Amino acid sequence: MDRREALKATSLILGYSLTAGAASALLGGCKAQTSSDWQPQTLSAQQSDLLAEICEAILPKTDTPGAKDALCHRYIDEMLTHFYKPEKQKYFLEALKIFDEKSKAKYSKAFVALSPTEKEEILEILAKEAADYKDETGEKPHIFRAIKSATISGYFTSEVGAKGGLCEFLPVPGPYKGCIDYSTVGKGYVLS
Amino acid sequence: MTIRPFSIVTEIILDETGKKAKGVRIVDAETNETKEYYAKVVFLCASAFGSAQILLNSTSERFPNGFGNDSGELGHNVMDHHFRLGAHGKSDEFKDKFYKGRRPTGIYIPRFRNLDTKTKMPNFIRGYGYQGGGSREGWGRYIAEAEYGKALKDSLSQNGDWTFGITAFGECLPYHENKITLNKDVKDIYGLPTLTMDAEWKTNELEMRKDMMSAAAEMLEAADLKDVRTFDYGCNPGLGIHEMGTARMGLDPKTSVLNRWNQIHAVPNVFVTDGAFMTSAGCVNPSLTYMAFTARAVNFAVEELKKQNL
Ligand SMILES: Cc1cc2nc3c(=O)[nH]c(=O)nc-3n(C[C@H](O)[C@H](O)[C@H](O)COP(=O)(O)OP(=O)(O)OC[C@H]3O[C@@H](n4cnc5c(N)ncnc54)[C@H](O)[C@@H]3O)c2cc1C
Repeated sequence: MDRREALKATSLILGYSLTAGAASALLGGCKAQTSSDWQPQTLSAQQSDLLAEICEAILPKTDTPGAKDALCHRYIDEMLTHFYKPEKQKYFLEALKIFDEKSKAKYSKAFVALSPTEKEEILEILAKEAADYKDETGEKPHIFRAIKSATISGYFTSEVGAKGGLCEFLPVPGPYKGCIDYSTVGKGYVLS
Repeated sequence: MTIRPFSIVTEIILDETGKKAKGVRIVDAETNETKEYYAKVVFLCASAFGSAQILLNSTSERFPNGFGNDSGELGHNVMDHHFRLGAHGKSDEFKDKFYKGRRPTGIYIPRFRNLDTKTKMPNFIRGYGYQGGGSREGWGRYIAEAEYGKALKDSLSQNGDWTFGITAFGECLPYHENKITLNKDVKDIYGLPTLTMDAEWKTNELEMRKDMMSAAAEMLEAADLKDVRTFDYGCNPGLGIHEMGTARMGLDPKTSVLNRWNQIHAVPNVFVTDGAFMTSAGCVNPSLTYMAFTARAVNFAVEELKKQNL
């Protein structure tokens, strides 16, 4: 089995629920670029700023790093650039507009200009839509689900997110203990 | 002993008698020079397809269709394991139990179909085994859409239920039509003709796959797992990366390329000791079998050299 297949098989066994696009990026080793002069490749500067705010609202900074710290929006730009076909890219960018549409309808402001509570209101509306949404082909997930899924995988595959303390980071190589009490760890793992 | 790296074998050279190999011809990968090396015995182990490629490319008046290919079986009977299907399920138990690190091994369920009259299957012959394991769901598990923000982070920080899954690996029968052939029109950078692959699963494999998937679910349900789901990602020959069978062994030189000691029937000082010699694929990972046969063939060759039979 090569790595891609091995991961696919475990992803099934572990019951991953990533969208197809997020899963192929994860398995393909997608990584956010950390350079200080980073420019988005597929997103426009404005779309990139919008996405950074959406990702942060999904995974906000608490006592552990947030999505902005983990550069999740850069991860998504990378994913769109290298793991999405042109028609899926188009679908994603088109669907992204809904965040500003809903914000303007409700608060007469763009999403990036909303307060944290207002952002949560918009996410709540879209999360409800996503829960009722049916994606028969697996090709057109609801935009909220697509972003949430990619934000989570971008977060945990970044060094900042993996080592940030939300879950316990397990580097390679390391020991193996087959049976311990959950309480001695108290949280999930992130594998390196 | 001298090991000569950067040597791409292009051909095995037949001697004047037509009954022995004289040595090999190589292309130096760095200088592109052609060289010949001579030996009493040649062990060919360039992998199942690599060895067949070299043999098919080694033609002479005696062997116009490939070295030692009197039977016409060289490059045929390509086999691989078919897999990528099985089942997985969840358990609500043992929530207080966990593990740490990466489990170095999995579980294995050996073949249980078509072993005797009691286990005989109506729709296929031979069988399959399962490889699998258990773990707790991590951050990639399904979390309700409604969760985002701090609540999502809280959920992500905790592990989910225990899950357990098994993936089936099935045997593929040897079919003469499943073959690799040389494509002289497309050569690699060393001038070796590339291989064209032409192989498919047939009824026996496809019937077996139905049982591979449903028996997996049946077992997990019997083991009291909940939410048992089957999966079948589809599988083409080649995905199993256990290719074999392209210079098969046999007692009859009319239907096989190698004899029981991995020697080419008509040229006994050439031994082929990789997956090419396999006559059937079984359903287990193949490398230990290749290694055991190789050790056995080497031992035989040494004994024969001592007796001056080679
Ligand atoms: C990703 C992956 C995972 C696998 N996992 C397992 C597993 O878990 N268990 C298992 O049993 N099997 C597994 N296999 C199969 C296993 O790797 C092979 O069966 C095994 O490596 C075969 O050994 P070999 O010596 O015949 O061929 P190889 O290991 O392929 O060695 C052949 C060598 O010959 C060289 N060569 C080829 N052509 C020429 C030429 N013309 N001139 C000079 N040199 C040449 C090649 O460079 C290579 O070094 C796996 C295979 C893959 C690809």
